[in-house]
Amino acid sequence: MESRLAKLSNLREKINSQHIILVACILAVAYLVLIPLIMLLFGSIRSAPIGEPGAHFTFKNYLDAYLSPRFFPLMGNSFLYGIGSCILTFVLGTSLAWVYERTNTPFKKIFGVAALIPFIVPGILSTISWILLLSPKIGLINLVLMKLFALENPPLNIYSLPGMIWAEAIHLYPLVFMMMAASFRSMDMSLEESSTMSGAGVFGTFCRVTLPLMRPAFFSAMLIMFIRAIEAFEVPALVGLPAGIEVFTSEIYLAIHEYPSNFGLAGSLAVTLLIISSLGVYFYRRATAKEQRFATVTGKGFRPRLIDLGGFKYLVSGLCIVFFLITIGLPIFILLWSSFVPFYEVPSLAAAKTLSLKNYIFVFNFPTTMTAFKNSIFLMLTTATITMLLTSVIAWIAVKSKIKGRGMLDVLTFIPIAFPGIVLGVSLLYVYLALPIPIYGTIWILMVAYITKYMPYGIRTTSSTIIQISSELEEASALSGASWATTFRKITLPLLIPGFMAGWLYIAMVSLRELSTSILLYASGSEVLSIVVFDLWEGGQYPTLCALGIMMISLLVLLAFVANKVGARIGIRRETTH
Amino acid sequence: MIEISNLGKYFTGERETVNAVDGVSFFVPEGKIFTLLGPSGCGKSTTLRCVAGLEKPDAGEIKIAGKVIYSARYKVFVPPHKRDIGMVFQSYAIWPHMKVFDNVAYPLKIKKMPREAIRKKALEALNTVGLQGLEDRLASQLSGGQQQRVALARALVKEPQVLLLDEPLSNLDAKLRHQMRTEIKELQRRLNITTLYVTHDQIEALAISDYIAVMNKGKILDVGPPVEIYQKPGSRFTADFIGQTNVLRGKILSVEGELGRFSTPIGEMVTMLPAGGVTGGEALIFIRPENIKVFKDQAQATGNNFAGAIKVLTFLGEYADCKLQVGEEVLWARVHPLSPLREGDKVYVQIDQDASFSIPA
Repeated sequence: MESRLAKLSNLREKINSQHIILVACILAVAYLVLIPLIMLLFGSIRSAPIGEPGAHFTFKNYLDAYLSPRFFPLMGNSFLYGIGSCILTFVLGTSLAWVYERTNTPFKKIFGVAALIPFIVPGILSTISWILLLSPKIGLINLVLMKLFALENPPLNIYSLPGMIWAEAIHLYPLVFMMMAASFRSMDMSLEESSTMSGAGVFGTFCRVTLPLMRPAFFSAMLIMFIRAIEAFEVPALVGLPAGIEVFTSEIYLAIHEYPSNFGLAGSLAVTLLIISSLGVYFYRRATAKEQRFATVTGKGFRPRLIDLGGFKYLVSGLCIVFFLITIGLPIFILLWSSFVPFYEVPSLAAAKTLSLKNYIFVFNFPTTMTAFKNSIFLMLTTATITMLLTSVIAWIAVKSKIKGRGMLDVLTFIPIAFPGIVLGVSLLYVYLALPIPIYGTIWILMVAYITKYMPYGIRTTSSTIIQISSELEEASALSGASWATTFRKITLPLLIPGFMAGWLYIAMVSLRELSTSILLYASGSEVLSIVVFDLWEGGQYPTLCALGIMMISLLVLLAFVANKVGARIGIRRETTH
Repeated sequence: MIEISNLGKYFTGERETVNAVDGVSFFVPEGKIFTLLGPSGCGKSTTLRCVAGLEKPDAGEIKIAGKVIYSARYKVFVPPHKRDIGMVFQSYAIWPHMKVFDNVAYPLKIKKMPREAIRKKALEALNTVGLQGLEDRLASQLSGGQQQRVALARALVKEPQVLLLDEPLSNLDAKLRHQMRTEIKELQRRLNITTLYVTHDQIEALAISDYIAVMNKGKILDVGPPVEIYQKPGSRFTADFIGQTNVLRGKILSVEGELGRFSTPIGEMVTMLPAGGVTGGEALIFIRPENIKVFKDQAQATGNNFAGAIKVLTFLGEYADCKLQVGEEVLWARVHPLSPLREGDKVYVQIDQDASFSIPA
């Protein structure tokens, strides 16, 4: 009897609140990540959608996909598109980062802010703005060039592979800028200086020291860009489809959207794309591990020595100004212009007389846009909050606890990073068409999708904040008599708030403009803003969609501004939390 | 007060298991400061964290005031928040999101004491460590020394049975370290609180402790009061670790009561016999540099004395370090900073028979 009691109390000691929370987190993450993954893999080898009677196992879906005459061009286009975008973003982002971090170019502070702006503009809007600028028929740049040089044919055409690569790269290069600026900044100058002292010249030092040290950073930036481009949906759908240049994402979209939906083909293509992006993520993780080995950060507060460009600095500054005028000024201008005209027409003095706020008023009175606004804001708030709460607990367990199984939790949470948006959409279609959970066609399926998709971002900000919170701060609480739960509430969470806020704002921003997953999962009544923009585009209502787009961009700029303020405060906080 | 027996803590690495704490036993009497001293990685901090409950040991038993708080055999492990212990961390661990007052009041709030009592006690504790008037500051507005005092106040405020200090002075500059060392000792004497102290600094250990345990590779090598540990270390490691020591290998030629005549590389000398030393036995003879006298004139040197030469003389302010060549051996001595000795001088080195000690080799 007594030994039994002892065993019971022993068991109670073992199963404490930490374990319960760990198990709950594993279950939640497994539900969000593993079930869609398994259903996708399983569904792709079934002859009919899961749940339908008479279905059997088959490789037909894969054979259909791979043996189709469309497959080879599809593969070729996807890779050309991915590699092209990755090279162009890399060149743009790295050059700007170098100018910003390492030279004495005038106005470079402004350039540093400008280089981040394309990232704030939703992909669908930047794609549309480039169509309005570079389309052979209505493209503003084409018309101006034809007039200026008396050309008979439009010189530029967005409906081509180079056009697609341009539109994608202009949207993506801020990421490269951020990554490369960080590596340029953390480079230990004494490594270069000791090379100079060993007798190497500027060029020799650059080739023998700077480049080899930056190589892992180059490699990982390029891999990320390749993955992002091959997963991109907006440019392939809006530019690629009319041009007849199909890539994986647009082909999957077509397969679901033809009638009846070809789930088998969508599934096998989705798995193929998932494999490609997973390989990319795998090599990226390996590259960044190597980058850490090369870590040149000394942790001391030093500023890298700036390179004096001499007279060239004015040339570089001028080039940057022209670049930003073209890549930020023109797209924003064309969106603004279109949002004020009653029917889409090319800017002219005559047309300027017709400018009015009618489109904005229309947006407010159009029931679908109001529903979309409500849905998007609701999803933004709930997704950001739930994702950050979930990942805070997961990050704490993964970083601080000694519970077995924490490593697995970390890996699980990171898996969605390899899921292209459209693949996640296909997987969730499989899951909720088959499972008896009635959220298909509602806003809840979008919420589940967003949480799954943004968990990796959440875990990244929370775990990097938690690593900075010294364990002794929590141990001091335990020795003050506080239980684990009390310590988490009173010490860990308050210290986590700055990172929490930063992650929250980021997830809020990206979920507000999400398109590639939503496009497969929305239904009438659960439209979100980017879906409405997409529909308006398909319906040719350019002025209305531009008004809506300008409103979206304003909201995002506001969020980015707050994020920047919060980010500044985190900097201060970090010093005090060791 | 604190009883530790056969404590073991093993970390399983990728290739091997590390015995961080390997069968450590000691006893801290009530109201005393007991110091665990050793190089980094010797297991002293792990031992302290086992007492705190921040690490779960793998073997042995820990008792505080007669109550078992950990026992491997009876599977007892009292979690840290249920132990009656105050602890000061190396980083101080002052919570940056709370004011000084809230930091110190935290343990009392956890105990759910009435508000008025919390206020009174927390202010009292701040007073004790000399921080009256700073209760509304944030941690980031405090200097290192002040943070240290907040940490002390927080550790003491709930009047624990035991105080644990984990390298509390290592983040302070040299002057402040000296001052806080004395203050901690005074405070401990005044409150008469049983204290376990961990440091790698031998001077700090000698200055603050009632007892010192020297640790290396997870084991305790020597335990005793500071003077005993310094003057009569039981192992070569202790002798080397605490202060600078000259070591000579000697063979016992003859025994005369407690003294023995040894043959050493620098010549014959008479000194204390090691425990169980018999004629023909081998021993290690330790001589502290401050116990070596250096004379220019052989007439002044008495007892054991050897001819040698000064290789290097380094002026260090309070004394001068003297590197001597005696026969084939190098000996270090400390001489008065203003001594007339010069580098290159031929000198006579005197080692008094009661100023050295030996252990079996």
